Formats: sequence, structure tokens, C-alpha cells
Amino acid sequence: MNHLEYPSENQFKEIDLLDFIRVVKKRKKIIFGLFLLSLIFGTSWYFLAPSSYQGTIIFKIGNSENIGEIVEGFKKGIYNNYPKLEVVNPSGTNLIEINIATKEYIQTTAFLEKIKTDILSIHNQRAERKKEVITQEISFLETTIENFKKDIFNAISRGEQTASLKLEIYRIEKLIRDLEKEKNDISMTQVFKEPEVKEKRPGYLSVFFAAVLGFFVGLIVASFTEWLERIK
Amino acid sequence: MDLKEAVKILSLILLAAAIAFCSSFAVGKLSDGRIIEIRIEDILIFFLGLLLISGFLISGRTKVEKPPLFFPILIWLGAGLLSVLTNWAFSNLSLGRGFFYFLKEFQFFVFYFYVFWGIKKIDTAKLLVNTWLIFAFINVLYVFYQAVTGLRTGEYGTAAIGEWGVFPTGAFFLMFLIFLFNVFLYYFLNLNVSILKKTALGVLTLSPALGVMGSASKTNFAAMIFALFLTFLLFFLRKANLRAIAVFILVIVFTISLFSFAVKNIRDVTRIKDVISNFSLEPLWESYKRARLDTAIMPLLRASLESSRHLPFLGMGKGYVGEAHNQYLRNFIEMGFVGNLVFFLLIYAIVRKSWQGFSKNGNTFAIGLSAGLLVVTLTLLFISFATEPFIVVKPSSVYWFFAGITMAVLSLNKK
Repeated sequence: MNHLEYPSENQFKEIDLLDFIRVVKKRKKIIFGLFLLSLIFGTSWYFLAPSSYQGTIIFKIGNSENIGEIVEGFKKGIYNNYPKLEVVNPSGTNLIEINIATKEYIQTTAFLEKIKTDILSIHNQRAERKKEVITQEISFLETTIENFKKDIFNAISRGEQTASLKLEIYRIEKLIRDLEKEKNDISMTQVFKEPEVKEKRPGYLSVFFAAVLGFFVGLIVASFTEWLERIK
Repeated sequence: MDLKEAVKILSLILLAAAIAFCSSFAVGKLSDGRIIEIRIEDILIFFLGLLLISGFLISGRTKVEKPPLFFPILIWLGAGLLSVLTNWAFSNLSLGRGFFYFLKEFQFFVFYFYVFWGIKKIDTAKLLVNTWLIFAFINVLYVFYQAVTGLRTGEYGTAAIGEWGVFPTGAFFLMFLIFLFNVFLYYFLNLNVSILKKTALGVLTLSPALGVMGSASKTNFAAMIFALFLTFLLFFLRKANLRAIAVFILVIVFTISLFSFAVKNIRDVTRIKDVISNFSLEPLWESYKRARLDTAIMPLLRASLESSRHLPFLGMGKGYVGEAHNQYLRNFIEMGFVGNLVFFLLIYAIVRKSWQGFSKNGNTFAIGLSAGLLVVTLTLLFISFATEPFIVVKPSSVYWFFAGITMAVLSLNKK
């Protein structure tokens, strides 16, 4: 009696590994056929698949910017809606790598150039504005010091105490030094790696995976055919 | 108990301990910068799985017991593998991402099968549930310690041992709360023990609620309310008497006490107040719309549909998307329409089995476990609109471990 043709009740509660091997043997033509078909398809795909062009640009982000926000901004299309865009911030760095892929070399290059212009202008305008605000603040504080100096001069001429005014000047001078340091520390966003576009074609592995896929689909079809035959 | 069985039980307890107490550690990096993290339970299940397979081959047997859910799991994994292989063949998916994301999912089912095949007696299942109760309580004690000392180890609030993320911590405690509390309602509560012991067991099984609140995760807090509602709905379906109402009132009082303790002692817990403000669903919906739907889910869906014409049919492969904030969207992007279809097939099989175990069973332990699995599954489906609970390692490991225990108990009861 063929075990496959007459399933016992127990077969529904247990899995017999030999059953599987028997199915593979019995339906080897289907499995091999699909494997071969996929192999041919994979090989054709390897030679005939249209090229795509992957472009990469790496930025060194200025310290006044929030890197997490930039990455999220790209993902949510705040800068622009680019197709197939991948943004990565290698952990522990202030670098952002942007990868973009399109079907045309010119389009990929144009996208990268636009990203470069947008990022640099937005970030650097923001950094310049911040520097400007600090400069204004320093200038205001310097004027305040000048006023205090005049007050001290007047107080001395009136024979009054000037210690508190001098202390206030020291405090403001320290504030100015801190602001100057903060201003000098503001770094601009720079291009760390200039835009680079590479042609991307399917690798040898595509053929291998296509063959494995064919074999796997063959197993599914073989099992399904067997199941259909059993329930008839 | 023979030595072989003792070793098997020990291996299950070790696996549970690894899930409950061990943190992940980095072993490498994918090409896109994502860090590959593994856990002790990954290493443990690898060796235990190898031992299981070699033991089976050495024994000369060719047949193994077919666990419930075997075919839905096989179809889910098959569809996943198909999507990965297709996208690898078309060079759409990076090798590392596809491999590790698929492997992660595969591992959850290995947990399930290992637990199922490891339980040969109901007593073993009871021992494992009691072990989990202790492990869960140790984690709750750790949360309590953080609350009292002001130590903050989580992303927002407190964290489970070896965990940091807000969602994994909250969902990890949520799994314990639902499974253990359902076992309490149907099994511990009917044991022939003193009221004092029953109260202690009730406190132990409800205590993971502190971990859920302490995590300060809005999603998990909403899920907890949903789960408690479902739990009592099922409980009243089976037992609508005065005792059930008394238990319900006591549980509400205890949960509110835990909440007020959490709000007073854990600073970030105040953020989850939005969920229950004015006892209305509107703030919950507004919060979901603002933080998830408009800013993450819809833009990702649009971008994915624009990026590939074959996405709806084949998907872009496992691991293609980093964070989708929606389980159904993830299934769609990774495996196309088929992904959600197969996912619902698997969920339907789990819900059907657990409902049968709940409604057609006379054994209180099996009823408790089935109710737990049913409530957890429905709760996970609910929060799947805002997150991807089925791929988060720590809670998913607990989920499939308990699913294994439940199915083993249901199968043993049938025999």
C-alpha cells in the first residue's frame, strides 16, 4: 500500500519527514522544471536588466543642526519628495550619507546637486543667522560696558563707590567671551564626499537567488499538487 | 521524572530566564548603518534547536507531532521567504537586512515549536507559568526600585531588566499582565487555597501593570486598558456572578492605586494621562493622527507606492522598511497584498484555536491560558495600527513562548 495515497488518521497529527522526501521524488520534474526556468530567467535578467544609477553624497553636518531631525525630514519628504532615497547617520558621527537611485544617470546627478544646494544653503543660512544674532548681542553688551564705564567715571567724580559697577563689567566681559567662543564654535555644514554616481546592475547573486527561488516555488507547487491529489 | 525530561524542562527555564533578564549586545553593522544586535536567548535557542534536531535524527524516528498552527506558520514563513528571495533576485533588497529580519521572525516560531515539543505533561506547563510569574515579578521589583530611588533606566520612564526602549519595555510587561492575570482569573482563583494566598497571587499577576505604566508608553497604556476591558468581557461571559463583580472592583481599585503610585514617583508617566483625559476616545485619536498617521504612516505608504510598481503584488522583502509604525503597513510593504492576507490567516488560526480552548474546555488552567492568548492577540492587533508589535523582540519572544505553552496544554488536554 502506498503510504502517500492512503493517508491514515495519524498523518493529520504527525509530520512524516519521509513523506516530504517521497513528494520531492515523485514530483521531481515539476521542481527541476521550475528551478531550470528560474535559472534561465535569472541569467537573462543578469544580462538584460536595465541599469539603475545610484548616487551618494556625504555631508558633515554643522553643530547647530539637529541630525535626527534632518534624517527624519528627508524620510518625510520635507526637503523634497525624492524617489528611492536612503538617509543614514552612522552612529557616533555628525555625518549624513544620502543614497538615491533612479533609472537615468542625468536625473540622479541632478537630484544630488539639488540636495547639495538645498542642504548647504538652508543650513549655512541658519548658521550665519545665528552668528549674526550673537554678533548683535555682543555689540549690545559692548555698548552696555561703555555706558558702565561712563557711570564709573561719573561716580568717581562724585566720590561714590564703583565696586559693584566694576563687578558688573567683569560679568559682562565674561559673557562676551562666552558668546565669542560660541560664535567661533559654530561650524558650517560641509560636503564631506562630493556627489558620486555609479551604475548599478544585478550581481551574480541574482542568478543564484533566482535559482533558489525557482527550487522553492517548485517545492510549493509539488506539495500543493500532492495535496490536491490527496483530497480528490 | 527522568533525566532527559529534567534537562528539557531546565532548558525551557533557561530560555525563559534569558528572555526575562538578558539585554542585547552589538555584534556587527549592516550596510545602512543599522547595528546587528543579538541576545543570549538567540544563542541558546540556536544550540537547543541543534540539539533537538540531532536528537531527532539520532533516534531514527521520521515522524514528529504536528503542533497546532503548523500550516499557518509555514505559509507565513514561506511567503516571507518568497518575498525575500524575489527581491534579492531583483537586487531590490540588501542581503543583510533581508537575512536578519527574516531570521528574527523565524526565531519566534522556533521558540514556539521548542516550547510546544518540550512540554509533555500539564505539570511542566504549570511549572513554566509559575516560573514566568517569578521572573515577571523580579522585573516589576526592578521597576519599583527605579520608581522609589528616582533612577531612570528607560527611554522615557522606567525599564525592564536589560531593556531600554519605551515600547519593548511596556509591551513586555503587557504580555505578562494579560497572560498571567487571565491564568489568575480562571485557574489560581479556583484553587483550593486560602484567600490570603489568592490575594497574593492576584497582586503578583497584576503587578506587571506597574511596568506598563512606568514605561510611559502611550500605546501600551491604551493597549492595557483595551486588554483589561476584553479580559473582563470574557470573564463575565463565563461567570456573571457576585464573586466576579467583586474581583472586577478589586482589580480596578488596585490598578488605580498602581497608577497613582506611578504618577507620583515616575516623572514621565504624566505623558500617558492624555490617553484617558476626559474619558474620551478623541484625544487618543488626535494623538494617533498627529504622531503616527499624518507624520509617519501615510507619507511612508505614499513613498513606498511611488518607489515601486511591483510592491502591491510581491512586496519589497522582509526588512525593506526600517520603522513603519503600523504592522499592516509593514506587511504590505514587505510582502504586498499577500502579506496581509497570510498574516490574517495566521491570526485567524490563533484566535480560532484560543477561542475553542476558552469556550469548549473544562480545564481551568487551559481556559486561563486560552483566554490570555486570545486577549493578547486581539490587543496586539489593536496596537498594530500604531506600531509593529509582532516584530519587537522582547514582547514577541514572550508571546510565542506563552503561545507554545497554551497550545501544548490544549493538545495534552485533548489526549
